[in-house]
Amino acid sequence: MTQPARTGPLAPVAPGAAGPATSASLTRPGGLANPDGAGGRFDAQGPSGAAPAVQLSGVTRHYGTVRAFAGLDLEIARGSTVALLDRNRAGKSTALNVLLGLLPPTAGEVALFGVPPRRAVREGRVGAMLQDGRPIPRVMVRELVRFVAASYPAPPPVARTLALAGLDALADRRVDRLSGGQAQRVRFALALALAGNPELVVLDEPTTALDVAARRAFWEAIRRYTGRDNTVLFSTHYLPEADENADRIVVIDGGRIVADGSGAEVKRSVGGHLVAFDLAGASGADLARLPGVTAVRVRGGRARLRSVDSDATVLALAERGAVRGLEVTPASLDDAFLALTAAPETARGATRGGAAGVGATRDGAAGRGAAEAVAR
Amino acid sequence: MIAYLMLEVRRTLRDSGFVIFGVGMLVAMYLLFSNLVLDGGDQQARTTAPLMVGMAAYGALGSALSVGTGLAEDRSLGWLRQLRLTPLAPSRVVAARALTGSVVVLPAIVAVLLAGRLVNHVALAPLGSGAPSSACSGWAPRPSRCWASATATG
Repeated sequence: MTQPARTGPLAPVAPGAAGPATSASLTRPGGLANPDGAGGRFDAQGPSGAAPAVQLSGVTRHYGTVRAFAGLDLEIARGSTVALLDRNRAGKSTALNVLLGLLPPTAGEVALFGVPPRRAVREGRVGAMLQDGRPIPRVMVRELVRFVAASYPAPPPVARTLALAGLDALADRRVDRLSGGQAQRVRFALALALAGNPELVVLDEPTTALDVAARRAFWEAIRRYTGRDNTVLFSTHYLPEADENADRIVVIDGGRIVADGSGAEVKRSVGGHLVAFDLAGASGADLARLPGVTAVRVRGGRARLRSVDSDATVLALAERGAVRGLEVTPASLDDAFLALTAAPETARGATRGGAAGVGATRDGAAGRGAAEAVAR
Repeated sequence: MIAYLMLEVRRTLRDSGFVIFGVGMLVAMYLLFSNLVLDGGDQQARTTAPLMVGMAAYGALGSALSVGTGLAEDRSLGWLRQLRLTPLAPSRVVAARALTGSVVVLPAIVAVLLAGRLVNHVALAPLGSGAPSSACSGWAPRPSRCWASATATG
């Protein structure tokens, strides 16, 4: 009943050869990462050792000639909650599918808890909630949760899982007849993902179709679950959600990791503040040379500067006598995300080698540089 | 694997379409065809048993084929992907699905054979037994309705 793992046997990797180490492969500071640092993460660590929950090294995935992502390096420590952001939905879902062993990577190594993903799944250490899953007909909620739980080596009581997912009252309903739309279906999918009390839970855009209250209830359940030292990796396109529920945010754009850190770090990475003022007819051409400024946008006679040092920027503006209708606001995560993921064509240009046009990429290029600063 | 087999069998038996068209309709068709008296009743004795066997086989085939459509449905719903993310080995899922195919043919066969026995009083001679008529007379209250004796005498 064994089958060859699609990722191939994980041969012990020589120290220092664990994939092309880009600046984006950042171990979360203060995380539960293995103590021996960068080298030799794969070797000498059995499945029960301190191998990280997720380890991608140089993972590339192509669809024919289309590249979903290239050279992805990511390490997720046990016990952390990580959000995966990507403006391009396909890249994110593909990354999660490769991570779970549903798709083989074109190149690179994937390891969950130090073993290939298929094996980690077979050992019952992984639970997942896929985006495209729909309820199958003619099964009761309790039946299906019990069935999935029984396939795991040490499942918690079914009643506890149902309570955690908020399904107590619906346990004897048919899965395909859950009323109340998406909210109950998501709760049910969550119950399946958590049924075996896996160490790693992967959720692909879990709350996309939920309203605010259902969203809150969902994250409440996840928090109760992570309270037991479990690792959660979720993807979302809703930034406040990532900021609120993850202790680490990984931003992927154009198939590469462009930012990696806590919400605050990601925000800081693109320039802490927005400085806006009226140009009042003055030229905005040389604004980019002002101290601290990383990006300039002029619209409707009003200049918006992204600045890592808003004080210096404002003082320089004051010297020029350019302070009109001045406004300084801290950058939001939305700003950060937009700055990090430039317009589609520029993003593609950037991944092709960074030789994209200058004017339009200024925002994105600055963000990318700043993101690398964070990663360092 | 047994758990998965049970789950699938349960799902199949809860399918009212399966029960009505795969079992109920079959029995009704069998009873209708076997009791249609077209030639003064002479042919009936000779047709009930072959019809019973044929109808049971037809029902079994239909049920077996429904496993394939069920699988396609599960795949389109993403259930097979979800199963791949449980510790259940894919080979076991395939094996359980195949076993499901051999279990869900039973209701149609049993229902048609029961209808044949209880309503049409069909009795079949056990294989390898001596004279068909003796086996038949031991089984059926009305030997004239027994296919084996009918073929023996007719």
